[in-house]
Amino acid sequence: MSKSMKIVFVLIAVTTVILAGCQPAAAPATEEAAGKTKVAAVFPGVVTDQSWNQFGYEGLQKAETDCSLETAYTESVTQDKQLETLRNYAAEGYDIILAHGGEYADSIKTVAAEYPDLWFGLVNGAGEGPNVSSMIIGYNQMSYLAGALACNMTKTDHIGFVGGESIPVVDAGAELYKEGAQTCGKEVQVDVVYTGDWADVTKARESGLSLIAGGSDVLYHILDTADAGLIAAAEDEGVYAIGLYRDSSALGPKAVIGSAMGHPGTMIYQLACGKVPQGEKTWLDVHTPDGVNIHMTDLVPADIQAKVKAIWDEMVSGELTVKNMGEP
Amino acid sequence: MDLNSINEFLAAAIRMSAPLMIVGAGALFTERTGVFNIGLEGTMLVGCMAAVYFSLQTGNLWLATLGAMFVGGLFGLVHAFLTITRRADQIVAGAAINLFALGITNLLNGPLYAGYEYRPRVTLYPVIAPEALQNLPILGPILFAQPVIVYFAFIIPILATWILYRTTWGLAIRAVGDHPHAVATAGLSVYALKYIGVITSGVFAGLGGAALTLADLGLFAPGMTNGRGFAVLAAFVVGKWNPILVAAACILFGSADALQLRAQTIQLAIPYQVFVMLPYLLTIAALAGLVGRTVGPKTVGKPYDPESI
Repeated sequence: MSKSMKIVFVLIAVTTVILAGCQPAAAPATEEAAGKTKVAAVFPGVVTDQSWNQFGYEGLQKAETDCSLETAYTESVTQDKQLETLRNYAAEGYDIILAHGGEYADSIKTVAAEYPDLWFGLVNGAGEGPNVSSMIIGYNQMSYLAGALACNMTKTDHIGFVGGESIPVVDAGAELYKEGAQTCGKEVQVDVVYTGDWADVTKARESGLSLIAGGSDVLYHILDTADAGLIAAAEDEGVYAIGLYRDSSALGPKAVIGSAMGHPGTMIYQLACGKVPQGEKTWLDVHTPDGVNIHMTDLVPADIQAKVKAIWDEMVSGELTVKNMGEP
Repeated sequence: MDLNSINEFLAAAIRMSAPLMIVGAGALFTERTGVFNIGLEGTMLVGCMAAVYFSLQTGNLWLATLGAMFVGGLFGLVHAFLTITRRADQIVAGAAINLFALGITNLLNGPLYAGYEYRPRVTLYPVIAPEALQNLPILGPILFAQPVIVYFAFIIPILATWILYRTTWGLAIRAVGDHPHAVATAGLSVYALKYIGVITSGVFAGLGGAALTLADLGLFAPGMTNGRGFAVLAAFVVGKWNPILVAAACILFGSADALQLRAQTIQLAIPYQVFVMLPYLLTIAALAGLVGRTVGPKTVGKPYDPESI
């Protein structure tokens, strides 16, 4: 091997070590922890992304305390590493193994069949197998509520939606946002833009600006960490924005009128604490504790707040059912 | 499309092109000295993070800009050391830099915003042109209503042209990529010229990162460059390694992106994916020789060995 090649290999080795450094095991097995249920989780991205992954990680931490679990996790588990990482946790004797994203559906199915005595949980995807529990985020209810809020707050009767990618759950969100936007006695035009990337903040901001230029004055989204870009666009241009997952008002205090609540961490919490029976597929919806809700800020007048809350109440009581785009 | 939406589109096109133009102009220097730097994507990403980091730490926009350039330069130095001194494969070294940049920025994203519940936005580049100029049709939105970094995006390629074609130093840079042994015979240091070229590309990739974060966003997100560094590499082929044409290709790429976001909301007969493909279709067309012959510097990709002739 030439000297130069050696250098390159050393550099690659260093890179690998650093990348591996991003994936710490949260709690190595200890003697004291014996007797506690051991739960492992895998995340598709980094758990400090201030979005999907971080929220899931926070749910896992909450479950660790509330349900006295012993937990471990691996982050940035991409497609190529899914099976290996899941099998590794199974072999290490974890009782419950969770995957934080629908993209793990196939891998979970495979590994769950190989380890029929272990319990697997899938967040935001339809799990298959008698020992797999799954929970799917109710973008349908969340987006319907966001649409209802947008309908009441738009002055131009024109609102916008930005999605990361055109995939079934996101398309469903866009569809139900449109339906929710027709609930306040006027016809509201809804424009939809997909950025093609969940983290590209610049593209999210530019999408927002193009929607605003097209006449939209309320923006809602299904994005990950790129949400900050979209809300920045609304803040800079003086229009309204609706956040996702949790109260996003700090991202744009003048722009954010509310947030479609449905915390990804609640799903991992429910699964980690064993609240979803094996083999069952459920929704994170208005009936889940800490489930789907609509948070509204002081920018929304009290009468509108009451109107939108009434829609949520109807969902809870069962008077109003919104389409489930694809059964879990 | 009325005048307003045309103005709005032009402004967005230039906003989205500016970071590419800056990275492209700097990267010409590495390519011209015969060193591929596919690590530009990663270098740009660390530039984005460095810009936000130094801004959060110092609160000063210009120190943040210099910080991003400095960190970009360091990444350039690493690439230069690997490919020039150690004569490592340029593609492998560049790929290693990209992977390293992705890993390190993912790792540091947590610490970067530690203590903030939400990512705060840092100071942005100001818009300095007077109101009257900003309201000019066409020129207003393209040039004057833009943050000051956009001026640099236009000035840097012009400056690069002048350096490359009007100075003896530029002549040496161009000669190194084509005939390094002739340059050595003339008594110039091939190594020094190549080092300067590669480090320059790193510095401007860092500045491009700063342009991406500090022009209008003011925040960092993991993986936010999303292939922009690679788009610049494609712009070289379309722009035939000429600073002005490369800048024009970058504007074309940025415009295609701005257009596809708008094409999704107005009912166009053409699906928006066509505009997403456009830059790459053009690159393929250029490689296939459809837009005239595209020839890069002769020794690009090959390490320089003074003992071999």
